Amino acid sequence: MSWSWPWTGIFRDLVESRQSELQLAQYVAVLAGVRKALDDWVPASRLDAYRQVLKKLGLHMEIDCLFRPLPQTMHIPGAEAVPTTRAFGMRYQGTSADGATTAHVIVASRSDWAIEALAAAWYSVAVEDRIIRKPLIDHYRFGHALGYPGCCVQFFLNHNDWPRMNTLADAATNSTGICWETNSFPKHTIWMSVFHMPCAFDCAPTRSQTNAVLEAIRDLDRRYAEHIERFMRQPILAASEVLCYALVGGRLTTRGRVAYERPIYLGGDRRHDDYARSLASGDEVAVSDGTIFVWRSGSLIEVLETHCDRGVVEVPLLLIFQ
Amino acid sequence: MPERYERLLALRLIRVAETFEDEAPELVKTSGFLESWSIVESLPPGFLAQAVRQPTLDAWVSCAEQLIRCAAHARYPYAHPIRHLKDFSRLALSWASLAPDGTKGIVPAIGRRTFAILFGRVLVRRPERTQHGELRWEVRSGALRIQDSGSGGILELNLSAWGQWTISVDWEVFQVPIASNILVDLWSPEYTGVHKLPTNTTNLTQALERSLTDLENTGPPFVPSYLRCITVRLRKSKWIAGLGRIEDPPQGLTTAALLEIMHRDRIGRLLEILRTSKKKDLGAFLVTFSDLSSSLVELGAKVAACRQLGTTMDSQYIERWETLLSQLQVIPGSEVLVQELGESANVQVKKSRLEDLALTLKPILRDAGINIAALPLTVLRLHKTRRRMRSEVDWSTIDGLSRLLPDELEVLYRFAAPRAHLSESHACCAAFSAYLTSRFSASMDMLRLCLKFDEDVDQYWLLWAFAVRHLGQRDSFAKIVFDKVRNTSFLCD
Repeated sequence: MSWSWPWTGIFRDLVESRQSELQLAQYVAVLAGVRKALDDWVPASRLDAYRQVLKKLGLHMEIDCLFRPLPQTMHIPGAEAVPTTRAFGMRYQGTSADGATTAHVIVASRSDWAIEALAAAWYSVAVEDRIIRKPLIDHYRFGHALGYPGCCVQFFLNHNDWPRMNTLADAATNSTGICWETNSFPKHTIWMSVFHMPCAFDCAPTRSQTNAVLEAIRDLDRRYAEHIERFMRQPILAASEVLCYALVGGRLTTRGRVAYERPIYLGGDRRHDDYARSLASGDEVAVSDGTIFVWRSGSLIEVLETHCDRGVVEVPLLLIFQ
Repeated sequence: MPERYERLLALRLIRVAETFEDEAPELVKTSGFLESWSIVESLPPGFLAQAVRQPTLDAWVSCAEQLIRCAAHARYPYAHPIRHLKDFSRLALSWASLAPDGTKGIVPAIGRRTFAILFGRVLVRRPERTQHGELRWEVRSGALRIQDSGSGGILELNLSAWGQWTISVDWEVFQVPIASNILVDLWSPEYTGVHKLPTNTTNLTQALERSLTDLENTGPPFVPSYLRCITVRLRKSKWIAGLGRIEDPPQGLTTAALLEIMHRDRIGRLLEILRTSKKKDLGAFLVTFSDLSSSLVELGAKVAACRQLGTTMDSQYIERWETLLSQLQVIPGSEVLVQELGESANVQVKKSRLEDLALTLKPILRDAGINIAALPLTVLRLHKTRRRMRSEVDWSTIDGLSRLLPDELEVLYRFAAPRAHLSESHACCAAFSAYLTSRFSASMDMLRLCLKFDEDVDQYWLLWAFAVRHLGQRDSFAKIVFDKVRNTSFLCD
């Protein structure tokens, strides 16, 4: 398999054992003591190799359960509202599994931290014909067990209500500045640094975590750290957590618009990538009245209306990171 | 004499206007809504009878209601809500032909090109979209004069002979076709999303007229009783059924939703005819419509019949109804229908089996000294999830309780735990508060008591599983969650 970056050292070990380039910064955060634990999905067929890598790194692992993707045609009530994963959950029994099955794992630098995180780590998955969720309090416990800043965990619990609230807009309202270290939008790309939703775009604990993680990454691969930082500094256009874009080459113009070269979808789920064509056709963007305006060579070419009345509250934001 | 639907729509319009004024006073000023609303107040009685012939009013009111329901006007006033309130000025413009002489109005452009006038019978289209800019209009000496602030162009329409207009700009003016007294509006952006105006609609209009004539002969009057206008997207055409006239609308389900259900086959046939007229956008009609499963039609009819007869539904229908509602919730665009179904039919259905499904916690919370006024309603009553249901386990009660401060949860636990053997409500409050304060063993003890009171409550079983998980007993967790063990003897192990 070819990778998008010339991985070396522990990055290479993690990428090859997991067959994925994502989430590497989370491992660095745990190794560097910035975070207590992380959770990840690893191909069940690769668990032995993965376990060896973790052992080499001195990390402890607990396995929650197996995830098998729900077929697109299968309808289970509520499955559409499950963030990130649409899967059947199955008990892990040490058996080998087909290539599509992943194991939900908890990794920590101390075994008691891994056990603590595992206790609250249940994800919303389907068991037979029903989605099983956990009580809200366990999201709070899980956030703490992973080592996310307490302010951000509490904020997330109070605002993570997609039909009525937009966490990003609320974080923006809660901010006095827009600092690049709080940019967690790239979390579904290899350029991620922090994973959690910040309570504000100038949240001090989040900035501190980012700087610590980047410093640790820099020790392992300086170029990679630089690339992550460059990516995180790019302006973001976001309507919701699943409808958000990095604006490559973005800069604020004198007309109050953001000029850009191309968009990169960051929502993590292509089913929600509604603005790709429109943004790719344009070179400038602005937001007002709940509407995203897209220009090309000075002519208005697209008017994208966001909605708060369709099950997910969309609030358009243009974030210019400092 | 306004019909039932018009009267209801007027009441809904007034209600949302008052809500916006009360709850978002700054927004109604900033958006210009107050000015547009004052124009509406000056219109003669009965204007709604014409206004409802275009679907824009129902679309606007329905969206406004949804924004209010999710409190977007309070939380995010300068996102969708301000655009929506600004858009009300477009409605006012479309009704301007009935406004008194001297009436003036402003319509912000906000990126829109197409504006309806004369109750949707004429559409005007600016050559370009603009982020800013506005249309200024005035009724003067029997003419409607519209000026574009950007281009300076002017459109002047003779209101006594509205086929006559003069125009000084490069605007398109388009008369919406009418078939059998039905507006065929495939262009208004609120319900089409279509950017290009088809210039030749003769074939479509003729096909529509033929199909409507055919349908008239197939049963009770369908046309023009139930249709006044037709659009591309069914989810935007709730008003189609909403305009229906029936002698005695059943209680509970809204007329709109009910007629949409009851006339599914007929509308489906109509749409099939339209679809074969090779207007590809009309395909969206059928796609959306087929999302409403036949079981909804059948079940909706049963619900309606029960209402009319004043009887309650059999438990098998209740169960299917709930399953259906949960399935409907995931269909894009079905939120409004689900909400209405949920608010009317489902509430009534649930009432009939309140004894079986609901556990009242309010007295326990009150007696424990908890300030229940600050709690969401879901906390006051546990809606039990039964094993046979496919819907997700409803955690809203324990999630709502998690808003209590640690001290309050402590008080609740200390009050409820010693009394847990007295009632299921006490045991439930004790189990939930113990879980929330990380007393997992105590929570399991209380949940055992809960299950003695009622063995078929999945909230108890799953919370027991999550409690045992916190204690590191993964096998027990897996037996409950993956193996679906629901045997109380297992809990004693």
